[in-house]
Amino acid sequence: MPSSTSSSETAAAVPVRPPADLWRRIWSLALLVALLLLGVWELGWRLYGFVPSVEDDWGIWASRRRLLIEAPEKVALVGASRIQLGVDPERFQRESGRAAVMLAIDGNAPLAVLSDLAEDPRFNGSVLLSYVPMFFGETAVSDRRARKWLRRYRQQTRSSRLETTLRIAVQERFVFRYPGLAPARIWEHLTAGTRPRLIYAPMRTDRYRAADYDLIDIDQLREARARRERRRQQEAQPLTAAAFEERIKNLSLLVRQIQRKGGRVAVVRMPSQDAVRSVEAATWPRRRFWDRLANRLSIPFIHFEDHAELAAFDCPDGSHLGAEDAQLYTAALVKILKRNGFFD
Amino acid sequence: MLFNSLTFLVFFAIVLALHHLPLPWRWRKGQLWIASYLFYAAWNPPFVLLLWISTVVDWFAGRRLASASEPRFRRLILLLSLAVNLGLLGYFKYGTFMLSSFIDFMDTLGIAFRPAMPDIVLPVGISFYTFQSMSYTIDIYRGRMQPWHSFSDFALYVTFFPQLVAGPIVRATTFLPQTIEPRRATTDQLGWGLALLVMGLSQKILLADALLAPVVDKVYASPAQAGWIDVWMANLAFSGQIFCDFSGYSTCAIGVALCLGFILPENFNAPLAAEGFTDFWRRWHISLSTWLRDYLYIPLGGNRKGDLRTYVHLLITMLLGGLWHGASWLFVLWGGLHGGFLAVERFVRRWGNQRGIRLSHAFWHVSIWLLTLALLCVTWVFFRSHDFGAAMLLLKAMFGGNGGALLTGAEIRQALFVIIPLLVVHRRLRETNLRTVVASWPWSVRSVGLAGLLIALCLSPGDDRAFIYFQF
Repeated sequence: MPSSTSSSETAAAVPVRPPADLWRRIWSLALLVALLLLGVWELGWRLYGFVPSVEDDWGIWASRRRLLIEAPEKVALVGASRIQLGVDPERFQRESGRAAVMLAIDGNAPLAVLSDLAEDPRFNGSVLLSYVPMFFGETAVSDRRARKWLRRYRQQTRSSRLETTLRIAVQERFVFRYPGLAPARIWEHLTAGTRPRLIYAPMRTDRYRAADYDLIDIDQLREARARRERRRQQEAQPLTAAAFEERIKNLSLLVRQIQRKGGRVAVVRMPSQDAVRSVEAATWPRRRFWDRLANRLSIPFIHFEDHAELAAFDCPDGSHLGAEDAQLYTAALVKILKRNGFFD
Repeated sequence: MLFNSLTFLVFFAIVLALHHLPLPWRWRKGQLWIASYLFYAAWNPPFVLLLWISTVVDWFAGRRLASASEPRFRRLILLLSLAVNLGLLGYFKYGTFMLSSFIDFMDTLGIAFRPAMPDIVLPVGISFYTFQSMSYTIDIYRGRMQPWHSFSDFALYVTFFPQLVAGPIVRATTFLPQTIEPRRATTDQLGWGLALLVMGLSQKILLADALLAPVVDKVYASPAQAGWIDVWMANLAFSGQIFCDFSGYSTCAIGVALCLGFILPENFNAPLAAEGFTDFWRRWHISLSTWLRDYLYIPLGGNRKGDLRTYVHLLITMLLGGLWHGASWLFVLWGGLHGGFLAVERFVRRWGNQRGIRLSHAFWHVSIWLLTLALLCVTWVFFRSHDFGAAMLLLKAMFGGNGGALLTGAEIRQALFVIIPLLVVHRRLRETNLRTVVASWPWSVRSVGLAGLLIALCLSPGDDRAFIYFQF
């Protein structure tokens, strides 16, 4: 529709305008009303229990990935949601003296990221890889998002990096930018007679998520996690001996590439319990997979069952740690890594 | 840099502040020039070179055309300019398409020709700035304007950031005279310009991306499962989506330029209220349709060479207009359909006029409007589909050839929630314009309306969906 700044191709044909001071008045009132109502909206949701949370996407992931360029002292935390909720990079640095960079991608197999780090000549740091049984399955957990993020990271322009920085600056300060509180989502809740769910694992700018399970219906979440594991178990293609051998060789090659650049690699099996753990144990028996993998690669393999200080943690939803436990777990894990010479 | 990004807000705030500094006009034009290059380089810095090539070639072509008198030499200069601009466009936009079409053609002859496919990245906005730059040279060749005296003014014309990447395609005769006197927005222009920016962003973020795109995407992602209601709804929604997306960009561009004191031509005039395809193209992407009219249809002969040739000219113009939109036979088909409808409409009109038939009753106006809208929805199938097979599936479904059902009742309501008011607004704006309507509201209503849009924009996180016309 014509906005009517000009009605023809000539600059002179500008239509009659309202008095100039009118727009001052219009904009002053508009800004005042907008700020006031946004303030009320922000305050209301904060009182309801919402806290600012950074949205996880390829932009922020890429900004973390960039921190690992020519940084031999840094440790990349690679994996999926278990390490993202279970290892706090800040605590890791306090305990080890080495900065940790969270590169975990929720719900994605980590080998694409490990492969990227191994093949990048500018990465000369170390890697802590969180490997859970479901990663053995060919189709159980895809790495589609990881590949997409890696592709976009490699093509990221300076203006895109600036956009990410600005977006994070807003998201870490305000609740109103949370997508779950967008007008369309609120409308869906209103029509369905439900309420927005609090963010139980808000993400910090370093991509660590501190989970507070008191904020949600934990029974429902635990059941959902168990259902997901069972579905993955059903969908998983059996891993043939030849395919497993190929997997071991590939992982071994990636580890050697990182080691050649002066880095170290350690593999950690984060805790799980109840139904999730039973499904994992039934589908991917430790002796047949984890132990064989650990025996073939001469790097630290840290399984929570082998360390009393790691085995005692509770996973309220069956597969992730809560924020308080994550602190203790991180400290305990760093001690074990130290014992294994990971930081030497 | 997208208008719907925080980076643009910061960029624009800085540009606006610098533009309002008490500096000589030459300096302020220089700032705009640099800002425009930065704006473009934000996507892919090396492609600034293409802008330079287009600018320099047409600048020198314009000067040589003015000083040359020998017709053959003048034609040679013009052809050189066209060859460079269309060569850039051809290589970057159509290179892969032409090669793959050639491979397909060889396949049909039974010859297996398998060359390595080039990995060509499409420079954003190349279709817009090459057309803009070419119009300058053609206008000088035709004697409609003299070459401009200042290279930096001409470079600013080609690169002016508000309309650089997705139009409106501005003519040199519209823009260059505005570079003579110092431009600084009046309070009124600034107020209305900012309001246009907010309205344009709202069209894009709140309507096109949040409410219409999900409905369209769902149907076009699964053409085999779609039923007739799904396809009609999706295409109605796409009519709204592409309008809100593209008109949203144009509205932002016009608003941003106005904040800097520059006036850009309108690009849309309630196109969803069009009665017939001639009317549609007078209201949709006006800067392109007038460009095609002035630099393609009329030079071909327009309507001066008899009825049959007129239909052929219409068809050629629209086929090429379709191809301008994208390197795909689907866009050519889309253009061809529009050309066909324009030809049929012209034939029917002339036939009716010869018999003194006048369809002036409101019933006929509404009927022709609805028929135009329905045919428009049919053409969108080719515009939006990923491949010919999907387009055929959707067309079949559109006319009852598939009993599937993809969209939920809530999704249909969501699309109608936008589409119905949009159509009503377009019908109301047929004979007027937004500015006049907005100006008729009390100032407090305008304030509250703007506040509502600002709040909705702040609360909508959006996605990083680029404007649809960026790919053209």
